[in-house]
Amino acid sequence: MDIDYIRMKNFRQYVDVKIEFARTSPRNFTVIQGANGAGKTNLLNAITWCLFQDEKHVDSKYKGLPIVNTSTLDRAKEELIDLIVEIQFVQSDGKRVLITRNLRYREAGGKLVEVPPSHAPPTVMRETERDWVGPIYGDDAQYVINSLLPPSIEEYFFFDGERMDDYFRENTGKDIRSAVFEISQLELFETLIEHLSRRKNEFLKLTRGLSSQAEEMRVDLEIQTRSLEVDKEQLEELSKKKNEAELLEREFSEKLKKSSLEHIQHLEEQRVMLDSYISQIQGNIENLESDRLELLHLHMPVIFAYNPLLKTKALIDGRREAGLIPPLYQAIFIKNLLRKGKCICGSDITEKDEYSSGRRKKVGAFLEESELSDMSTELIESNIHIQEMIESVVGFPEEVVSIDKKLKNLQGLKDEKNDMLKKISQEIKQSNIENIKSWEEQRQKYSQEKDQLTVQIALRQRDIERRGNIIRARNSELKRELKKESKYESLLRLLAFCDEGMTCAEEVKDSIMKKIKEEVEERASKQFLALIWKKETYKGLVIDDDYNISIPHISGREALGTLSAGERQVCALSFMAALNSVSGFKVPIIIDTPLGRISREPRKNIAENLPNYLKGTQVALLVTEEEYTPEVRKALSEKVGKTYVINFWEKGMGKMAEVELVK
Amino acid sequence: MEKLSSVNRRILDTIEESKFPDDVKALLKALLAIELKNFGDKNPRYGEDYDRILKQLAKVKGFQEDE
Repeated sequence: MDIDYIRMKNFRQYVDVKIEFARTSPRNFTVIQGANGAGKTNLLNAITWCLFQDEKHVDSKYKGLPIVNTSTLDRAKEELIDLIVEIQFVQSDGKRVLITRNLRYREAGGKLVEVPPSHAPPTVMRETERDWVGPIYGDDAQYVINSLLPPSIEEYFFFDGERMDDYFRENTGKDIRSAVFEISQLELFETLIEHLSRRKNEFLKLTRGLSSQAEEMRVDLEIQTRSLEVDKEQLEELSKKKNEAELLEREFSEKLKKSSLEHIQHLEEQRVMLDSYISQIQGNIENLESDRLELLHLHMPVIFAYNPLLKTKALIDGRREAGLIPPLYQAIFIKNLLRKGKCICGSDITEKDEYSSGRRKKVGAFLEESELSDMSTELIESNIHIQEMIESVVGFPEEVVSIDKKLKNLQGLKDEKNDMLKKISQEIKQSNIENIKSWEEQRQKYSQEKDQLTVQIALRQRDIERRGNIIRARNSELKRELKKESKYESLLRLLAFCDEGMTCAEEVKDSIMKKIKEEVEERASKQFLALIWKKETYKGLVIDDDYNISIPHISGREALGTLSAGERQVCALSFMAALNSVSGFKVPIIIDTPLGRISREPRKNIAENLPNYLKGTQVALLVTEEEYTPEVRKALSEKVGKTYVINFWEKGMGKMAEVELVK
Repeated sequence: MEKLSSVNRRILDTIEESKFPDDVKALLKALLAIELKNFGDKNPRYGEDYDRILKQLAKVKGFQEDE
């Protein structure tokens, strides 16, 4: 990106000046020549003031003086004076960016004073494919400017040659290191690592409560499932045995039915009928027991809370009878009255007299009574439900008693029939015929075996049902847990990914930093040795990991501290040229008094070599006549596209300057 | 001087030459592009962009993300 032009209106000595810069390579050098005090440094200041509202290179003699041109004082008595600095940049795609900063002044008490607002916010206009966009004002505009050129690295592009030799005295290695960070975009890694770390912490928070118990549940489910299979196998075995016992029982029963004795046949037929009858009774008993259980389930909560419910109802009824609930007035009604300053009767109670005061107290007392009005409404509604609950169990004891009575009767009937069965069995066993006696014993044996197996089957069926419920519940839990587990897994992987990203970012950042340092060192050292006139005196320029610079003398001692001002200037120039070329950050370089401290022969050498080290970079040199010698002029002749001369003169209290294009 | 519209070639090349897996390299490149886009923004909103890229690349690695 290049500077297209700068326009200064009433900025220090510049009343109305526009300077267009050479931009076409290889003649992209602009030379602005002026005597000491003509305004070269103020041109540099105009740029930094426009961009950052800061005159970064201001001379001590200008400190404290207004930046507006003081020759406008007389005119300021009649009209407002505008101070404007406008810079137009051209980006590599040809699109222009126009940055303007201005202040307004008036005369007061023989002085020029700023007309508020005095903070001089910038405005930015940007050219797009179609049209200009903007203006963007204030903070937003400043953010755009800072993104174009961070203020902290400005001094690596716009610098004062007169002060350049102080550069290594003022800038510590740490400052240089951070500048390298900015101009190489490495600070993007810093924010990336910080943001990645924050996202990692967010993911970490999400893992709370997600640590999985799925494995334990899986094991438990497997055990339960295996147990269910065993139960089912056992049930099958028991059912098989029961069937066998039933078959054998029936077989011996059939033998008895078909026995030669009519009496035995009759007894056996009776037993079959009784068995069937007892089964029916058993069925009825089971139905009644089920009804009883259902009744208990339905009414048990109310039965347990019966006494507290009665007591609560009695309390509410008592309050209602006493007229305590519901309150005479709703709280909201009283609050509205008090807010409007009205009595219940509608009269005004806002006055400070005795009547109003008394009424206010009375209405206030109503409010206290009414504060519980919302709760009172709830109590009254609840009382209806309490009444319904109490009524729902009114018939409960009778129902239970009735069921119990039926159960008792049925149980008695069952016992009676069982006794009859026993008698039948005994009678058959008393038979004199051995076969009949033996058949009955066998039948009885298998009948008992069948009964025992029936009990065992019932128990096993209950176990199976219970285990089935457990398995269903465990399956649901496991499903939920697996969902959590899946999310947990994903989060763990995201966390690992964040870690990998941060490690990679750190390593890449360090690697680039190291490479840049090595390249800057190599280039700066090469340039320093090319530009310096005592070529045999120094080994080169060395930069350590913290960007501290040293110049090793041929004898091995450190020579940075003993360099002359001119040598230090060459050192700084070499370093900055290297930094700019290595960073890849394409910014015009403006150097004020670049050769001021360099003697004649080295000056020519620098003029010849500098363009090679700043190849492709737009350069503006602000030089004195003494610096811009015929040799320097000749050395730069193929590079300079525009040459200006600053003419200045005193006018009244202030200075005036104009810039003349001479080539 | 201009607002940089792309991440420095040197950075991209160094990421590419690094020993890290491709998805981590892709992650860094994508996140750097976001940082570049937000550069100069006082309070950049980066969370959604970061999460989107992280989850997207995690899936590329074969991660099943459960929303």
